[in-house]
Parts: sequence; structure tokens; C-alpha cells
Amino acid sequence: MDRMSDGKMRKVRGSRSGLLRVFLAAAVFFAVILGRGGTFCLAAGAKEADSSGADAVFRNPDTGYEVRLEDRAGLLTAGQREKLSGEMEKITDYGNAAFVTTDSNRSSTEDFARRCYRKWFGTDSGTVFVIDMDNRNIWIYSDGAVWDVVTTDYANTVTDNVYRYASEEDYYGCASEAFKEIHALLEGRRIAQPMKYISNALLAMLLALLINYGLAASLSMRRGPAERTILANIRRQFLYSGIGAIYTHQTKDYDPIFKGDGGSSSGGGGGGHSGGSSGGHSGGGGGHKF
Amino acid sequence: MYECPNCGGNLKFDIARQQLYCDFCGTQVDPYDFHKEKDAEESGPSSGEYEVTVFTCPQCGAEILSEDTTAATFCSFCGGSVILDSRVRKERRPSRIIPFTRTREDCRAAYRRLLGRAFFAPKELKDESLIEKFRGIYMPYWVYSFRKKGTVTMPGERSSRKGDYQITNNYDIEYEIDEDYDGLAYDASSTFSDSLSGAIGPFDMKEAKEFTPSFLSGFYADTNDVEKQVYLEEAEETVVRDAVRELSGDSACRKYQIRQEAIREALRPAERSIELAMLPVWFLSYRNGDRVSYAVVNGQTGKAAADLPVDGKRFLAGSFLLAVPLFILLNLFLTLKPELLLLLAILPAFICVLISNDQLTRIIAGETGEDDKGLASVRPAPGEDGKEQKTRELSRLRGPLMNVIGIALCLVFLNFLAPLLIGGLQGLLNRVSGENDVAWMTLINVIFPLVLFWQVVRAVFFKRRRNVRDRAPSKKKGPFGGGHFKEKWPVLRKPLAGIGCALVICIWNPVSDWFYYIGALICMGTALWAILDIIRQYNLLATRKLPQLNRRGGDEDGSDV
Repeated sequence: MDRMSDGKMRKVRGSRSGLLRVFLAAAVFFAVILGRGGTFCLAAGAKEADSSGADAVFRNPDTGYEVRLEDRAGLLTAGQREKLSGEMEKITDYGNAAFVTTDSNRSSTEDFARRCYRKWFGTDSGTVFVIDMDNRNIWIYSDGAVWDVVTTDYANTVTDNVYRYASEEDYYGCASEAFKEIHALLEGRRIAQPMKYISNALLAMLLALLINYGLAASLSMRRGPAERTILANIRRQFLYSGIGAIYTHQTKDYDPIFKGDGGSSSGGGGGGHSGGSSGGHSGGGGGHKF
Repeated sequence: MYECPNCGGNLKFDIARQQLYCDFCGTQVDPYDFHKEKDAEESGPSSGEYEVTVFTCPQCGAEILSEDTTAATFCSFCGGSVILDSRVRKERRPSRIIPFTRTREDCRAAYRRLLGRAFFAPKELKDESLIEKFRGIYMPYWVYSFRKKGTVTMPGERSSRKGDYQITNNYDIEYEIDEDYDGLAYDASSTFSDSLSGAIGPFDMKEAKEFTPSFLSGFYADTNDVEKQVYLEEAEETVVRDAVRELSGDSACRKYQIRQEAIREALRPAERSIELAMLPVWFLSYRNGDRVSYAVVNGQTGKAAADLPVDGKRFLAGSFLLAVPLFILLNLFLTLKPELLLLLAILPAFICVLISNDQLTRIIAGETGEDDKGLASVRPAPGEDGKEQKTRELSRLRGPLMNVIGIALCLVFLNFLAPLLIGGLQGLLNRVSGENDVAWMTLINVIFPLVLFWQVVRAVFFKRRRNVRDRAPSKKKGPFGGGHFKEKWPVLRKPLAGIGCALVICIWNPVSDWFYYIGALICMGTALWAILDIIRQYNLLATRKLPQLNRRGGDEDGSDV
């Protein structure tokens, strides 16, 4: 949903027409009946968490960014969803935020996350956190300004930090911690990545030792002189003159030339076409199995 | 000792003046003039010998010759500070000599320049009191000369096609050639390693002069103990290659399609002669425990070469310094997932295996003299004693059996382990990596097992057979860069254990990151341990065992082949 349509929506909502109220009530009703999967919008600044385990949405009145929760796998209680939604609201200062769980996904978690994000937010700034129970994987996918901060490396670090919650079936804790860390990054704070520093320190030491060894070995390498240099330092003379070529004999070998029926033909290459993607825009992220 | 005709002082060869010079009264004497007066009586050129004082080191048995009777107080070969035993002996008279043209100061300057590049060399090597110990030594060299003059005939042919027939006209191509190569020099002392003598070579043999003992005054000379035939083939090949290069460029050679082999045989020299020459080398030894390292400077050209061991503390300090900016860079640009970190940790461990293996091969070759033709020619061949002979016979019997077992292992590896390894890692690759990582992760996952497999195949099918008769170093590479797996295993097992641990975790593919981190830390830890081993090995390579010499040999008989 782009911003222009958001603006139009706000006008519509501003009128608070009875028709809209009826429409919203019907939507809530269908969402309750149909269970998971539906998304819907609330009035600006409004907040709702139904008890059926479906969706909750929040829109930041200042930025227009939204919070979406879609607990298709039913991993959170209503209270947890409400609490999580509240925690995710902080992210809407910077971009959209979504939390999705699924227990049926035939594609990779990364594809699923990307599809969800594109469907809801297009190429707008934001992030989506996915718990994929089918692939036992968690994934953070970000785009726009949020992706500038929550890069693939950071997404990997955040998922590395929170996957243990998912392993222990504390899905709320997992999502809550993930969004806290994302928010910390967006606010310019640092997140804990001790193993990165430990492993990088060891790698740096190993690299330094190997580089220094290479340096020592190459500098002390002894090379003998080239053959031309050796020959230039001796008394050397090589004179020759051709006397001639004396014909001795002739040999004749039967070697028929192969005459094929027109030679081989190679098929021409067909025209190529590769389907383009939807433009030069790309987001990204990272994940972790649990 | 050469007495000054003016004051009776000791005349010594002065490099700057290229004359015998008396430090007391400044008298200069032409070395050849002195030869006429003194040597003609005792041992002139016609006798083939000259009288000289031979100093023998009581510690290592090395002999060094001098025209001076003053006691020598240290041995240049083992670095021992001892009074050398001396006696007068008649030695084979060399035919040629290149007098020193580089002074001791030139030599020190060249050595300092060399050390300037050796960042991790022990500070003792830069010590002025050590540098003072550079000793001018005339090293014995065998000088090979080759000649061929006359008509040579080579078979040539020209081909053309006529219908279904290939017609070849055969010719005898005749050339009048005059080839003369004089002065290919190879060191004739087993204490002077081929690598050091090669590194400071070549000497300009066109500047060689007729030998006279007075040139040795003020310097020392090493004795020759390497047989003159040792380098004959190598020298001849150099000559043949050059002659073939020259003649191959001729239009007739190309026109009549003369085979290279025919040219080689036609140009092989008819006459060969070998002479002994004394060539100037500034020589320094540095002893550290039971190891010694040498530094040498060409006394004619000033080219320097040295064994440059590494000071462990300096090396580690330098590495820590370098590690700091690397750590900052890595933190800026690299955040690795634990699975990727584990795979990456395999890489340095694998590099350590390769380096360690290569160094161990060279150490074994160096200690046994396999990499030095001169040294190999004076050392007893392996298997000359009864025990080794028996071992060799046993291993000959064991050979076919080992091959069968090896082939079976290869098949097991090919059919079971390799797919398992590649499949497991590939699965991991699909799960953990982003698309950008695929190329280089595949490099690790696929090429690494392939390299291992190739090494197993090489070890089984191309196992080097040692030829006892041929004591010259082999140019062919053996399995694992030279075999000797039993000797290498204690060192190689450390990084291999780390790699094994990492691979097990990769194949197991656990969920918890801790397994990957622990595996990576173990792998990197073993790699660090292996690097410390590599430094120790490097120092073994850069130093030598103390020489244990029982000098004699070096063809005391005539000079012509």
C-alpha cells in the first residue's frame, strides 16, 4: 500500500462514515470466522487485538507506517500478540513492521518473507519477522530505509541472538527480542555480537600469522640465476653455417581425405529472453534455523 | 706465508690494489712474480700440486686451507670458536682463480642490505661483532668446458599432399658448427650448499686468471670433496639447450622440420674438460645450539644470500601488530554466520597442512642431502648398510599389497565418503548461504575433498621409488610433495584433526550455534598451533645441522674426462 493511497484512506477515515463502520465490523466478523490469513486496517492511532489469534494492525499517525501481525501458525496468545504489537509500534517511527508465523510453507523462508513483505508494503521501508514452523526457520526481511540499517549481516546477527527462544518454543520471546534488537539498531544503538568479535579476532590473528609467514618465506627465498645469465658469464661461442640439404629418399603414405556429405551443421541459437524482476529494487535479510 | 722482499713482513693480497701488499713498508708485488720466485722451487704449475697449511676443526672435521701459518681461532663451517689443528699438506693445484674484487666493507654492506629486508631475523644476526667475522674464503668450483667443431648431419623432411597421398621427401641436413662453451662453474665443496652457491652466482668466468697460490695470501680456501662428474650432466644439458635454441632459429631447420631431439643429439659436445677453480666468497656462520646458518657474499659481484631464521618472539609481535588493523577491517566488513565461520575456519587449517607438508618435505630432503647434489654425492647412500637393505627388501614386498589396499581405499572414498562429504556440505550450503556465498563456498566444499582425493590417488599410484644408485636429487615430486608420511604425521595431525572436527560438525548440521562456534574455535586453534609448528619448521629449514665432515675425495686424479 503506497503512501498516496494511505493519504486517501485517511481522508475517508476522517469522515468516519457509518458505511465504513459497517464494513469494518463485517471484516472483523469474517476474520474471526475464517481464522488466519486476513489483514485489515484500523483507524489512525487505533489498536486492536482480537481474541481469535488472527491479526492486529497499528498505523503510526505521524509516519503512516503500519504494524501487522499475522499469526497463521497460532503460536501466540491474544495477550502476547497485543503486547508484541505494542513493542513493534516503536519501529513505525522508521518503517513498517510485520510479524508472520506459518506452519505451511512450500518455498524457502526467505521467499516467504519477501512475498509477505511485497504484498503488504511493496517497496516501502520496513521489516518483517517470520517464524516458519514448516522449515523450522526464522527470518528477517527488510527493505528501504530500514534495510539500510538492518542489513543482511545484522539480520543474521539478530536471528542468531534470538533463535534459542524459538528452539525453546518461546515464540513471543523470540519475536519480542528480535524487534527490540531491530529497534535498537534503528535508534543507532549497538546489539550484542560477542562471537563476531571473538571469531574475527581469531581470524585476524590467523591471517596475520599466515601473511607474515608468507612475507618471511618470500623474502628469504633464494633463486639461482637464469640460464641466460649463467651463459652470459662464460666464454661462449656458437657458430654455424648451413652446408646444404641432401635428398635421400621419398615416402608416400596413402591418406585419403575424408569427404563427408555436406559437412556438419550446427543449429542456430535461439533468441534469448530472460524474465526481468520487478525493477532494480531489492531488499534483503537473514535468518536462522531453530 | 709470503715474506716481503723489502722488510720480511707478511705480504697479503690487497683487493683494492689487486697486488700482494706489505702493510709494514707498503711494498707491492705482483702475485705471479712471487709465484715465479717461491713456488717454482717447490710445487710449480707443472707438478699439479701446491703446498698449503691445512687447518682442521676438531669439532666438525671441516678443513680449511691457508697460505698463512697463524693459528685460526674459529671454524667457518660449524661456527665453533676453537683453535684449529694445522699441518702442512700438498693439495691439488687448481687451474684458475678469480681474485677477490669486493672488499670486506662491500661484503658487510651487502649483508646489511639483505638483513634490512628480513624483518623477523634474530637480532644476533645483525650484531656488529658477528658481521666482523666474515671470512674471505676461496671456494673450490668445478669448471666445465665443452667443445664441438665440424660437420653435423640431421635428418629433415618436407611433406606435401598429392591426391590421397601424403608425400614426404627426406633429407640429410648438414651444418658446419663450431661450439665452444668454457666456464660453467659448480661448487665442489659439500659444505657449500647448492642453494647458497646458486643464489650468489654466477661468477664472471671470463675474469678468471691462472691460479697461483700467492692469491690465497690473507684469505682461506675450502677443500674440494665433491666428485667432478656430479654436475657434468647438468652442465652439458645447459650447453645443449643453448645450442639447440641457437640452431632452431635457423630458417633451414624450420624449412626441413628437423626434430628437436635430432638437433640435440647432433649438437651434443664431443669434447669435455673439467678443471678446478677457486672462486671468491665472503663467508659467515652463525651458530645457535646445534644448528648453524650461513651468510655468503660473492667476492666478485657482491651478491649476497643467507639462511635467515625467524625469531619467534619478533614474529609473534609482528603478527599481533598486523592482526589489529585486520581485526578492525574484518569487523567493518565481515559478519559471518556460524556455519560459514566453521567452513571458513577449515581454510587456514588446510593452508597450514599444505605449508607444513611442503616444509617437512624440504626439511627431510635437506637433512638427508637429497636437495644438494654435491652433499648427496659424498654422503653414504641410503640402504648401503645391511639394516636399511633389509628394510628396503621388506618394503618392496609390501609395495604391491599396499597398492591393493590403497586402491580399495580409493574406491571406498570415491563411492561412499566423497558423495557423503560433498552432499552433506552442499546441503549445508543450500541452507545457510545467501546466493552471493555460493561460488566460494562451493570452492571449499567441492575442491577441498577433490584435492584430498587426488592426494590419496597420488600417494597410491605415483609413489616414488628411491633409486639407490642414483643419489642425485630427483626432480620428480613424490606423493604429498615427497612422501615420508610417517615422519610428517605427528605434525600434520594437528590441523587435520581440526579439519576433521569441523567436517563432522558440518555433516552433522546441528541447530545450536554453539557447535559451530566450538568447531570453528577448535579448527582455528589447531591452525594456530600448526602455524607455530610451521615457524619451528621454517627455522629448521633456514638453518643447518652442524657439519660432521670426514673430508677427502673430490677427484684427486687428472682433469680431463
